[in-house]
Amino acid sequence: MQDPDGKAGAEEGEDGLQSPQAPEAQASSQSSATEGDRDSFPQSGPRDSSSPAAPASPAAPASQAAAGSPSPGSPVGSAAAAEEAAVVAHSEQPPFVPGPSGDTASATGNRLLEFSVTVPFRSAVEADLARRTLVSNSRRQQVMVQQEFTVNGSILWTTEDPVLFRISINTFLDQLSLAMRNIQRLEFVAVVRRGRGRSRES
Amino acid sequence: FLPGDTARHHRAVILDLLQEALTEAGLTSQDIDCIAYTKGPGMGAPLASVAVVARTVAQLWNKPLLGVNHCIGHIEMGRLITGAINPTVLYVSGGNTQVISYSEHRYRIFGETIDIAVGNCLDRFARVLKISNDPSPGYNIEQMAKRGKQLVELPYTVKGMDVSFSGILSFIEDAAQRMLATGECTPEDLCFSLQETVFAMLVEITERAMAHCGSKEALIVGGVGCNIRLQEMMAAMCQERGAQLFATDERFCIDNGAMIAQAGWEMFQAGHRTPLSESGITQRYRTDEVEVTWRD
Repeated sequence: MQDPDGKAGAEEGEDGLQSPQAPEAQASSQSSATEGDRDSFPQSGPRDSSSPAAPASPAAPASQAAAGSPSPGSPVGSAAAAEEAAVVAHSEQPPFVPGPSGDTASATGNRLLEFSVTVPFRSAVEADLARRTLVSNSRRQQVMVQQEFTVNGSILWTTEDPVLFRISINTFLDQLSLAMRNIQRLEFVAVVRRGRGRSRES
Repeated sequence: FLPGDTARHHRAVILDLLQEALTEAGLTSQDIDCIAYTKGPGMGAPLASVAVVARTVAQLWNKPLLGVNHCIGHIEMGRLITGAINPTVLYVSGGNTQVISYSEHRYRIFGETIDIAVGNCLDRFARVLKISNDPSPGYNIEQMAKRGKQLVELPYTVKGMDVSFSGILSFIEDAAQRMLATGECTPEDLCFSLQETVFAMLVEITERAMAHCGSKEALIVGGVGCNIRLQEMMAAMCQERGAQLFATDERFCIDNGAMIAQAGWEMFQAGHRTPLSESGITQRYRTDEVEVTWRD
């Protein structure tokens, strides 16, 4: 998971993507599934089933979170991050390439599908907390869908099954949203309690 | 229950529920000793959703995490509420049907269903007769069975220490409409006959386990354990054996969070801890996989 310290504000990356700058949180996602689709991975180049998958670079300039934290208890940060990641992923689905007969099914064949999400957290501590929360769930699916978590990078999915691909990503985004809401809510409660404690003492 | 819908519900309410529980109990995070959650068995999506919250809370509050076996949760709650010391346990619910007895730090499965659970059989039969799900199909079958007057012969399938319910379900799904159409029996007769047959099968395998273990106590847990007719039949068997039957009401029979907390508490006291790396959920978590170190 990525620590947002560093660049602030949306930037246009080499892939030509510019993510909208939401004040609370942003997520960037990249997907690439066909050879020759060179626009989706600005750092590591195109991926296809014959080349080994490489995780997206942590310095992917597609978007970075704005400085500052989401408002305490606000669902916007977590839900917006999840929704934006999903929306951007859907809009970037690779075009179907028809085969000689014009049949798209035959063109997909044994294509390896990949999808990566970079989630900006408020701090490295929060990022690591979320990673440790979510990585245990991902292990169950490793047979059919490979997921790769990196502490300072992104989460990368690889599979040949498009249905499992979609299910795995959607499940992860739901769980990520839940984890982030939980973190924000419990931290907000702790802040309020500390404030009450100080006011009683004074 | 559809896994996706159930998981969505859990994700929507769990944080409010957590806060509500703490507020109602008058506790804060500092009063909590450990975080117990259901590791399995059960439906994957709901289990995973709750596990996410448990892991997050455990890390934020810096409390140990305990993954609890759902079946053992039922057993420990039953033992706590009834005071049974070392019973042979009949665990019957929509998802599980097992006869369990404790031996050498494991809850050993002496017998079980080889296909569907007894509660699943009852629920699917209710669907065939279009019986309402409110409050639950099993409850409505029980009420209708009280008005049954005729015992219809149904397949009785006990295989040694195990039972099978898919055959009786297939038979009754096929025969029910025909028998009702010809007026051979009423829906109440079918409810009565199904209960008598499946419960008799359960009583038989429980008695066999009790005889093997020399047990003088029987405990019924799980949602189907609320059924008064099942309790009556088990009580009759226990009386004949000079044994004692223990059972609870719907507050503790049906799946609940308190039973997970109770089992988690026992585990915590005995020194169990679940590292984050091992905190994934297990849809097929067997009752005898857990080392029961909190009992002699």
